[in-house]
Amino acid sequence: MFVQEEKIFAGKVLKVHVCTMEGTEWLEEVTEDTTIEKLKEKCLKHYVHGSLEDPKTLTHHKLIHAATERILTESKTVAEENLKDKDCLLLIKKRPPQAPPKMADISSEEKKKQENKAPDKDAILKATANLSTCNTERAVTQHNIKDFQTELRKILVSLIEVAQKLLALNPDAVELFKKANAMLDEDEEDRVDETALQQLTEMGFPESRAVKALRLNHMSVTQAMEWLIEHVDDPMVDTPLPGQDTPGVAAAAAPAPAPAPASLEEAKQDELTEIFKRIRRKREFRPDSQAVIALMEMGFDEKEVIDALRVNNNQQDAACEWLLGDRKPTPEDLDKGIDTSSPLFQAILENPVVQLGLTNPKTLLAFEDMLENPLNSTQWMNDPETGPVMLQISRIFQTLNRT
Amino acid sequence: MQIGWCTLNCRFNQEEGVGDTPDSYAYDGNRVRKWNVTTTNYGKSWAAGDIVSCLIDLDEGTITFCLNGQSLGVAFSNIKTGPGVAYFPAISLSFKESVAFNFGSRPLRYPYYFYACYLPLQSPPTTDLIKANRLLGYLKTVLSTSIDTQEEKLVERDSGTWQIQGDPTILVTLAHIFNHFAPLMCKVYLVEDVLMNFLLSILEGGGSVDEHPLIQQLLDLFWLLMEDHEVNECLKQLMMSLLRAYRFSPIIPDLGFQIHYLRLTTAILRHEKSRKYLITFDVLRSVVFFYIKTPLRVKEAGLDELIPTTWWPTRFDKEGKDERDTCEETAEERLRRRAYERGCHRLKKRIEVVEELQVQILRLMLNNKDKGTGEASRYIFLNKFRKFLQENASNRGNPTVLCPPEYMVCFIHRLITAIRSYWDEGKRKSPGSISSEDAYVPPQLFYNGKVDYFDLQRLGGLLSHLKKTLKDDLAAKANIIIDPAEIQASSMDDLDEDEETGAAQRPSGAVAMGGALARPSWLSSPTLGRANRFLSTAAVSLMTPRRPLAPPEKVKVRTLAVEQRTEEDIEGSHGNDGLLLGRPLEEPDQPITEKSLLEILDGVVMMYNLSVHQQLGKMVVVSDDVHEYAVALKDTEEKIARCPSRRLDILEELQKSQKVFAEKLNHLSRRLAWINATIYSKEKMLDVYWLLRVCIRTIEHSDSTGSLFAFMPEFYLNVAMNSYSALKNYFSPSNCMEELPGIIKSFLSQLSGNMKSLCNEL
Repeated sequence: MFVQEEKIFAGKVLKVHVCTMEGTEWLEEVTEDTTIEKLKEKCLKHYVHGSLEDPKTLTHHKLIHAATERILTESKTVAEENLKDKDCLLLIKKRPPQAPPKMADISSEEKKKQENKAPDKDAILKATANLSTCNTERAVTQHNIKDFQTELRKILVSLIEVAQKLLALNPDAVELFKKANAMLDEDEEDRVDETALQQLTEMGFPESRAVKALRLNHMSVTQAMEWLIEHVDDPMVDTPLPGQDTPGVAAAAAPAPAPAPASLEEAKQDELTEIFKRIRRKREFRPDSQAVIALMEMGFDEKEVIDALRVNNNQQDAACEWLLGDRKPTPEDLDKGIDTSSPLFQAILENPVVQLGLTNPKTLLAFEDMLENPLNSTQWMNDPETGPVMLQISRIFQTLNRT
Repeated sequence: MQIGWCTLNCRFNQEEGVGDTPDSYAYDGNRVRKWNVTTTNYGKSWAAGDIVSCLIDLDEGTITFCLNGQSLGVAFSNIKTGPGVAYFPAISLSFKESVAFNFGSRPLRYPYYFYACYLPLQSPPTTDLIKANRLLGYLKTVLSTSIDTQEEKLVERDSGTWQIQGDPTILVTLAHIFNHFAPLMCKVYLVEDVLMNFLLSILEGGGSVDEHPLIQQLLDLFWLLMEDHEVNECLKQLMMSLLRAYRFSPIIPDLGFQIHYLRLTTAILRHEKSRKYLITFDVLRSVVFFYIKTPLRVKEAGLDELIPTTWWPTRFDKEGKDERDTCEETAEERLRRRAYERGCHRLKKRIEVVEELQVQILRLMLNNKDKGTGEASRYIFLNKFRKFLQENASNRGNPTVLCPPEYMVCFIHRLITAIRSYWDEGKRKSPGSISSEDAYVPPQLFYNGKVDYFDLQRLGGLLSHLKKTLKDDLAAKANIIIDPAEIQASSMDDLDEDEETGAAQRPSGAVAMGGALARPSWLSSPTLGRANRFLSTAAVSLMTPRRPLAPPEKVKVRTLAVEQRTEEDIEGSHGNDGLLLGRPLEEPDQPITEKSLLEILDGVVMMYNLSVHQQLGKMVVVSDDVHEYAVALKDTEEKIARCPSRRLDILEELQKSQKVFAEKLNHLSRRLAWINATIYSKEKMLDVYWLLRVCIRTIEHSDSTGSLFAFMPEFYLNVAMNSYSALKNYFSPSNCMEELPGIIKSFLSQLSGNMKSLCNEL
């Protein structure tokens, strides 16, 4: 009676199959209100025969309900987990998570890491001592790396030629180049080297003549003096220079009588050629007179000095070095463009960004300006229109320079 | 970037990097050259996401490079070897360049040791590999066997349709296999090499992903027979491997790699338990899956075959714009244009396959019905998504966790497609709600504290300030009482705000507005006038509470940490409005849609403001370039026609540039086709247009709440204006706004309606 009472109190009894990993299988009787945890304990007792000495054994196993393929929850009861009579349960051993490394392990790990540092020279020598030597004298032909600034000048000279050709057929080419010409003119207006003028006037030459002489002789005091002495009896000596006192002259020359329509293009061509020539003439060099004097005082003759300054952009110290050194590049090199069939120039012309830039008249103007005043190149580099072109040229140069 | 090998003796500095010194050797795929003091042309150009293999053969003394597994040929021979010479992998990087190395801790994507005896620096875990492959073999055997209990023998079967069917014998067998297999599946190398490849091979047969139930079955087994910590680690590694595989696969003509990896991702995310774990793990990383990279090597990506004929506009009016009427087009030109358009269409179809898979992945993550095992996926995603937005919105954000804008653009479009499809599904089920066509974000979201807007500016200033100045209005209109302790706390935070309340009459909103106006993006906006009006409205509303204090029952706002919100907090239940708590009288008492979708929609608007708009503007560059080169080419061709015969020198130069321009345009037009298909397609334009209308409707609804309009986050105005300008300026070359019937009209009528309401207010 007592037993029955207990059974009623405890609810229905189920018989479940329990299988272990090793293949042992038995029937376990369990009441519906037993928790899964208790059931597991019962199973384990059966399985390990006797009492559970290590309480951890319990947490190291799980029960799986085979039919529904799920892990049973410890805290739920048999009824809650919906177990049925004759169901099959698997008792499976869990794998513990990897224990965090002990302090001793960590320090030995650290040690190992330090030992694993990249090998130093000695270690390498030791490890490679028995190798036979190969290619130690691998010849690396170190080309003389060209300076971008000097090379850029040549590139610019050649690019200008290309740009002029590309722009020559623009419908508004004439206007364009005239404008460019005018812009270059602006800087030039009436600029006379004050110190040079003073030197000449102190010698007793009238100021107007001295100005003219300086202009004609690119501000060279000695050459101007020679000219003044030569022309002292010349009746024309005081006639003003064209384009100076009569600014309209150059402009007036431009609108030539309208040519026959058939040869319109050709006439334009010729006009363009004229404009280009004029622009080119402007590129002529004006040496810094003080530098000239300073360098001449060192014993160089004037022609050399002017060449030196021209090659070195009026930088007195650089010019001095040039005079004392191997004098390269030669002044003749300056006006020469780069070899147009060279891989460098070909690469530049094959670059779409450069080609696109060349269709923009502003690029031509920028090139001209940079030739004349190399110091302005920073300004053009930062210009949104010409900047990308300059960047490409410099990149192509940097890349091919090491070829 | 110069990558290759160097010795200990190499000294590098700002000027000289790998390849610039005698004993260092490098390849640079950007300049397409190799370097060892001097340089020569070598290899192919590379793009982000390519894999470069650096091979060194010290027996032969040669160095070779491979790009995406294709050998670029021996770059250097006769390199120095012998006592004291040891080579190290080396790289020189420029600003903002980054690279990921694999010395062999993960399987090599292009393992050269198969046929050329090259080994990775770090040896593969050979013993583990053999073990894992053998165990996988056992597993496969179990999968392709069933037990015939009557005959008591094993029968072979098709593993594709395998199921356990609760057989204890099979389960015990599998438990034994997993006892050894599970610990191995926590290791990066083995997950990528053994598991990922096995799963991929299951999908290889083709067909839709749900035709392969085996992957679901396997994942069930994983969760059953592996410990939780093991499954977590294994799934994490699997997802990371898939991400890497997706990201570093080259674009090939049929986008095969991308599709392959996305299919497996979809299959894995179909598994409920795995999906929920993976969303919890990290949604941010998975953003890579929604991106489709743009190929730089047009030819390898198959664009040459897909678009054999190239075309670009050749007629321009005086302002240099494309001329509209095409009647002057010659027959030949028309044929070319049509051929090009057909090519673009073929490309678009291919990309759509990938996009479709990406939307599927998002739809899985937005599933709100999978409540079997805890919180539904959508609510886990929602919280992670908000955190993702927070990280990207905060200026303090670490730049490395910021989502790249090109990913953002793709993500926003997939997200819009996914939420609109869920939105309209919901509409079909409950006909009372509104369709996604009329979607908007109700104003409650902005002031009821249920959605975190981080420290983003509101129209009326900072939230802490608005809570103080508008607390009476909140109580009156929306039954919302703000906890005085909260106000106290926020005033302690910033003293500046206190000063502002001292001068309560001053429309303090205007101060914040003034700051916003100073931004150049506002100034350049064509709708600045509108903005001004909005702003002044906000300021006016701030000062004039219009309705008397009324209903007695008040709700207290409980502010929740972003990551802790549950479905109940968002969707609400009986007697709880969830996300839409504090409905103002002006808002209709009718469900809009599932409330969780509203929050995602709000997030989408925020995303557009974060970086999408900017990126859309950047990508216009390609079409601008096409235009510029097309003009240049046309001019050059005209000049060639005009060139006098005696000027051969000019002719020569002109022909040279003609050739350069034509080549560039061929390349650009194919790239443009890609960009038009992925970024400026008509569908994407409609997405942006939808977003614009969402913003306008949201502004309207918010505006009708009077003073509470001040709570609206500023970015809604930004997005309304920017998306309009994007439609007008960015999408227009490929897709004309006027082409979309009724679109301009409806927009204008909405605009004028808006104006009217604003005027009334004033």
